[in-house]
Amino acid sequence: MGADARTLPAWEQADLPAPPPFSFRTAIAVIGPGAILLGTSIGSGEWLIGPAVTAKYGGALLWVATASIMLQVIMNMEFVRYTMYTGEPIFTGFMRTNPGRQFWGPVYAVLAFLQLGWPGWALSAATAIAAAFLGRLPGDADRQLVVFWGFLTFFATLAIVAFGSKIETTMEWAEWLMVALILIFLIFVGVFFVAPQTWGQVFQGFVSFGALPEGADWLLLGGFAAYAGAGGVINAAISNWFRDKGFGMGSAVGFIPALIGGRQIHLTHTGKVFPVTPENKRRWNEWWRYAGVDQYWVWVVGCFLGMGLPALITVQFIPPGTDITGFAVAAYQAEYLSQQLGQIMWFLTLLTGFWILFSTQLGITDAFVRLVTDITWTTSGRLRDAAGGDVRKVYYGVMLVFTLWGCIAITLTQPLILILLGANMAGFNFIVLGLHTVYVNRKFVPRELRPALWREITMLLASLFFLFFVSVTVIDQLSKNPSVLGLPSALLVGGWVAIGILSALLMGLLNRAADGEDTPSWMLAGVLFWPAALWLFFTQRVAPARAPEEARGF
Amino acid sequence: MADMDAPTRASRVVAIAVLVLGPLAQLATNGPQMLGSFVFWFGLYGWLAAAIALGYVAYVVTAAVGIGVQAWSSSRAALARHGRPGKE
Repeated sequence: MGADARTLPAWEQADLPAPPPFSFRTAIAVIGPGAILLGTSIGSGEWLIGPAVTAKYGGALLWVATASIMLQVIMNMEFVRYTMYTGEPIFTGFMRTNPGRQFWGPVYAVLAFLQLGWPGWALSAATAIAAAFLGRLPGDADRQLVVFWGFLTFFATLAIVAFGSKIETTMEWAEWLMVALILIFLIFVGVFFVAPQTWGQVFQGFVSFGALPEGADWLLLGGFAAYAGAGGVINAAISNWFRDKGFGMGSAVGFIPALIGGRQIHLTHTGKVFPVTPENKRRWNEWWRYAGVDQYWVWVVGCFLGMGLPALITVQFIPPGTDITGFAVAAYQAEYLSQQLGQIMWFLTLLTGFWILFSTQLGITDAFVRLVTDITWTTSGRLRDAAGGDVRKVYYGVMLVFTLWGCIAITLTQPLILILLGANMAGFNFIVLGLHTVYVNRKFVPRELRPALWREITMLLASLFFLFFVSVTVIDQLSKNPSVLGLPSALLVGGWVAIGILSALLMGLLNRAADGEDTPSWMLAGVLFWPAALWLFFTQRVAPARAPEEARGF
Repeated sequence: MADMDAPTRASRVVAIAVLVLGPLAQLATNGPQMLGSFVFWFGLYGWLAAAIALGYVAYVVTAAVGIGVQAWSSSRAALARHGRPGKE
């Protein structure tokens, strides 16, 4: 149960703090991370990719969203399980497994960057503002105006997270407000302007299990599968928000305070666990109940509304077969709604589109910066010393770097392309996160608090679900781009993956023959990035374990 | 399932029923040749999602009914002990 000294120090022990007695009123007060995740989730998947899929293929593919959202909620609850037991985000749990923090810290930071480092949401939100100013759909000629508003939108997200006592609380209030504005408008349009048969068509789409179109655009479908719901590391960031909200042992470790209005809080770099006594088990069940309300009633219900209501608008108002892309991507709904319902709908729909995409960019900016902050704060003693124990310096430092990068990335290509890049990366991240979380919870969580077998099987099936979409997308892209720098791309990718699988098998067998410690984690590392995993395997397996003090540097 | 509480048992029963009866209904509607199609097997993910969702709903409903029944029976017991208010 104890942590490996080569990776991170062992946990302290304390009793699980008691939650307030469960009631509707206390549930409203206790929950909140689900709202942040919901505001982040109702975004590109729902307003851009979802309508692009629905406009192209009709409502039949919405069942992919049903499957994706329900698989994701099971994943979310497993991320939360680790956090409620240890007070640590799930990423810290990953770093407690071999090859250790030297491998998993940078790997997860890179995976998060590859998914979230494309500020397509700010840029697509900017297309809505530009459309409002121009009074028409922006085109390629309006690129400069769109990019200008993209910068301003991006900076606005940074300004919001600077205020408040706790960043998580500021985020929660901002996301609750934006989600409310979004859903009020969408429900209003859905109830008063969408025909009952369209409702039926969309509902049927959510339960048309198995429907897949011939000759599909797999980049689009892969993105749709991953970004229906939240997507990849954004889902895993729920554990960081649960920690900061103070769920379970999260209340025993501290949180990240805001720059303006927040006071310096000691955020411990390792968590605390509790002994499984009857009283602690009773408290655990109560916390778990609150987590269920947060995730099922706020997040799942919100995700279905967020996906279904824009789909209603698309099916009702946008002609089938419309190719939604380019610099007008966030303004199509406004264009078609205003044609049929009057000019007021032009502004109201653009405003809603803006909130949808802005809330996502806000959540994503915080999720990425928080994730990198937590990883570096946990792994690097030098960094903690340099920051004088003030985690805000790290958080806002990472944010500054992210901002500078965002200003470059925002000019690279069209918003939907940026988002599809991130979305497909999210699918890949789901595979890694799902497998690693099952292992982490099995390794660290006591038997009495571990997930039921059906949850573990569902996690593995979820990884397979996203593996399908990622594989098909990669194969599809390889067939469209047969060579890279004059070399056959299929051979390059296939060769890299084959060596990864062989490395994982080799490390698995050798590790099993030695002591079997963390074999699944070694194998996952091998498949993921075999050069570093192999190097660490052969250096760590022969090197003696260092003392915890020596292992502080990163 | 013997040592499970009533809401957990109800959620399991509902989820398993959806997971088994859903695909069977699909086969009954579209014919057994569906067994050879990718669409049917991939669509099982949809039934899994439906099973999770309806299983959770069954859990919540059964728990709420249980709480209601518990409250009702404890109020009945209190009445039996102390008599109706205002009744001498």
